[in-house]
Amino acid sequence: MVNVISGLAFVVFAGVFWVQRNYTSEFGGLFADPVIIVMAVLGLVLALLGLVQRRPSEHKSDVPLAGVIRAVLLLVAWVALLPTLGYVVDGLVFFVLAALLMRDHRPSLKGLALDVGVSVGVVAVLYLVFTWVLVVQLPEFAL
Amino acid sequence: MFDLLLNGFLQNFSPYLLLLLLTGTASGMAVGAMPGLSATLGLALLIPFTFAMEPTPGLVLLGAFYMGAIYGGSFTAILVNTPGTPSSIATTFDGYPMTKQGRSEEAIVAATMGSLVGGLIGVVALVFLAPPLADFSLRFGPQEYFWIAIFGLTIIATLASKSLLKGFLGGALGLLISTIGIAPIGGDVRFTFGTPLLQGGVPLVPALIGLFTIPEVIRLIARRGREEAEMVTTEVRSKGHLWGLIRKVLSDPVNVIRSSVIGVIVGILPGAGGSVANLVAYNEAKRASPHPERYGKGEVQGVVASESANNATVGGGMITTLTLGVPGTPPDAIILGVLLLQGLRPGAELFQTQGKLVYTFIFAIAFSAVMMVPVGLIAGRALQRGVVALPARYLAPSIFVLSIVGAYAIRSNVTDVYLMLLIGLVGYLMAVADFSPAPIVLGLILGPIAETGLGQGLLTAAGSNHPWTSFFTRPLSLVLIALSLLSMLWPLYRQLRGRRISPAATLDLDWPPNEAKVD
Amino acid sequence: MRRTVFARTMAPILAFGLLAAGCSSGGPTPSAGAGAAKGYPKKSIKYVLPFDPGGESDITARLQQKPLQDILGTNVVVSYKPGAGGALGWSELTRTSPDGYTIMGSNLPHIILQPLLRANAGYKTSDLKQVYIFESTPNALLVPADSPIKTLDDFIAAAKKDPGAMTVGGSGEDSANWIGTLDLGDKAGVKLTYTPFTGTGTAIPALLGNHVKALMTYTPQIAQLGDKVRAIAVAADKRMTSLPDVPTFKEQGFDIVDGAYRGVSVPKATPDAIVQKLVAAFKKANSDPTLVQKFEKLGFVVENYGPTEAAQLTQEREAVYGPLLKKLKIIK
Repeated sequence: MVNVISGLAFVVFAGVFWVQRNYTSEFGGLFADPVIIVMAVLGLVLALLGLVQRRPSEHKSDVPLAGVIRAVLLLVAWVALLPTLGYVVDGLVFFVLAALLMRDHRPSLKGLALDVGVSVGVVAVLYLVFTWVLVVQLPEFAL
Repeated sequence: MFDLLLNGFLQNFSPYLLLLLLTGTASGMAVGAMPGLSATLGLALLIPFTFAMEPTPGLVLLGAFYMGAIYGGSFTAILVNTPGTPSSIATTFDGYPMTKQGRSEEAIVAATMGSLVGGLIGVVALVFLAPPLADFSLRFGPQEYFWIAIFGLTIIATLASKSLLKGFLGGALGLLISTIGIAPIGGDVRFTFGTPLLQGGVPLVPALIGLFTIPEVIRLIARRGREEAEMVTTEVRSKGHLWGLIRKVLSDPVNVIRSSVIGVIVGILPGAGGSVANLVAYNEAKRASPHPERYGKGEVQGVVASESANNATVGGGMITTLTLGVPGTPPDAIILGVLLLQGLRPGAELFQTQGKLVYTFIFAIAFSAVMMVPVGLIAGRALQRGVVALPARYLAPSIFVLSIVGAYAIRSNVTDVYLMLLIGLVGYLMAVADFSPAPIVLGLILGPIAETGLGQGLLTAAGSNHPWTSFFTRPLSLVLIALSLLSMLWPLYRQLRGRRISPAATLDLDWPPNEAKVD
Repeated sequence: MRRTVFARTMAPILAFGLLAAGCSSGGPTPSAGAGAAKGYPKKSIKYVLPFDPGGESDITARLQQKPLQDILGTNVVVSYKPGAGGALGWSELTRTSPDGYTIMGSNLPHIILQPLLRANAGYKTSDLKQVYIFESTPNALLVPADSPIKTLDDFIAAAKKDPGAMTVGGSGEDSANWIGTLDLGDKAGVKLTYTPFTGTGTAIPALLGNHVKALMTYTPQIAQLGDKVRAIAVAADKRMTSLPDVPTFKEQGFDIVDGAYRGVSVPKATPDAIVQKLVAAFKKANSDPTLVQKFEKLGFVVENYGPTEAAQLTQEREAVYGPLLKKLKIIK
């Protein structure tokens, strides 16, 4: 089943790119077109083989779905708020959130303080290294 | 020449230069370890410092930094599955599984020794074989680059551990994504989906971080890091422990030497550098091994192959830089720039008129490779112990913070962070569907090389009636085509030979089957 | 119960975070017009390069960094925003605050050709206010040293004999090398096949390895390659002092004077007073003898175009490129 979906996803992806083709020179599609076509064909093959070779899913995932959803939401929020909160605030807040989310039990005050402490440490060190030593810019707080 | 060599060798023993060598190597390693910071960027930052120095110390600093940076990429590749530089992509294939098995120290030692030997062999090639190798590199024209890229893509056949079909789909995905942005030939603006932000295409580093690191971060957070117990080192700390590890990683000299040679050859080709070398060397190591099924599951020789190849490109790339004035790899462009600023012209006369400086510089690179061993073994193992000891609930967000900074730092562009996460999410889904990330990365790296070679080849053969034939009539191209076919068909051949399976079995989605399971 | 705990833990974190935000933010504040020029510059200036590190623009910027810091009395921080041949950086510049604290390297003819050739480059040539052009590298036509072509006439004769077979390599699409080749082909009435390479680093091996017959590149390469190549023409007004043996296109009958010009630009709305301060700074830096010497070592021609002259040059080149590209049916 997974294979059927992935196969079809590739066909769709190839289709999306095919539709977006808008070349102005004769070289534009020389390489890209064959790749799109190959992708669509292979995707189709995958979907077909997936249908034909249905087998009991040996795929026992050791990663709980609820955990994955939690992780994805956390990371998406982290990145989405990056331009607004800037690297430092965003990093501090979400670092602690992540550490808290990964705990099994409610943290003690000491545990919480440790989480905040590590968060500050890591975020600050990276900030200093990149902005002072390497003089590379990082996103700023923009509210 | 011998006296020049000796002089160059001895010059490096001055306290000032030794100090520069140490600082250069160590800071290079630190920069190389951080994803998003490339050797090129680090060297660019050092340029103003070199203005205040005499030519020799300035170049020594740059050379040491460069060698260290290529080595440094292995640390994060091994410990957190994030290549610090694209030259260490193949190091993750076995380095990270080794970390998960509690063998990260062995991996670090392997990377160190591999880098040492590779770096030294690169310098040896530079000293003794520069002119013939430089001439050889000139024989590679656009058509040859195209076939090199195709050869690189056949590596997918070796890397696809779960299914060839899925491997090639991944490769096609990488190739397609690499076409986003401005076409290298013809200047078309393609597949930007209406936004000028995608004009620059999808840069490699955010994609690397997305494909290799993000899925691991998701897994760590989702599982609440329950696998941390496995990562604690299982090795006994005995007295000859380190020596034992060193002997073990060097137990296959053929692998190290072959990988280094590959690194040198790829290094002399401008337009292909460490990022291609490590993958090709890994592929060859796996093919030549009596136990290819171990690769990808923690085979230490995989790490050795990758790291020796990428450090060999330092010396290799320097060949064309010093002999022809053509930078063999992107960091070489900076070193070339500094050479020119000092009024030094590359070419045969450089070796004659400025022999002292040149050979001091060359030996500095070699010394830096040697210095990497104590610095790497101390700092690297400290880092390794730190990472292993860190609880997962701090490790995961730390890696993610580093990923954000790394993705952002290259182009100072938040879009790159978005891209990294998007690619990461897709990468996670693909991993769940049994697609491995390596073919995608291969496609991303080799796509531009293939497309550029294709277009340029057709243009440069425009005089003939059938430009396409130029791809099949040039002798060097034919050699590369043969290599590609060999590489492509070899895993098939091995499987069929060993198991007497019918060819129809290749369509099985679980094919090639894993011959040995490591628990 | 968990929720209140959560809220209680979040509050101090957020408060702490807001404090940290106050300390970390140092972004540019929108200017208030001419009044903002007083006391400029008050903080560091970002010198952004829209290219990858290691190129000629990078080395130039690093050479200018210290003199500019001394003259302006503030830090000058070099950073990179590569992509799309510079277009990503220049389109970003149009969205940058016009307060003079962000200056960006800008190149001619790139900023003319890209908006002309691309449906959506993200910016228009007029969106960039060029502050100063400090150096240029004229185009130069090279052949391998052992080529039978010895002069420009030989080159044109060979090209006429076999239309399309004369392959000329160069650095980049939509670049000075490209349009220079087009111009030469047009003026000489021959069909040349231009082959773009990503930067001079890959174009030169193509010439030395005889994969292309000629190279339209920049003058610094002549010095770098020495006797491996023969320069048959240079697109300068008069013969260059560093290359006395190389005839110009002009003296061989073709009015081709072109190359790449490097300068810096600011967003169009930047107040004039600030622009003038920057102009003065670059002018002074460009007259520094050590800097000039280093430029010449690298094979650059030192230029001194202020904003008006730069705008004029841009217009002149635009007037040449537009009709040429229309004539060759590359644009409508």
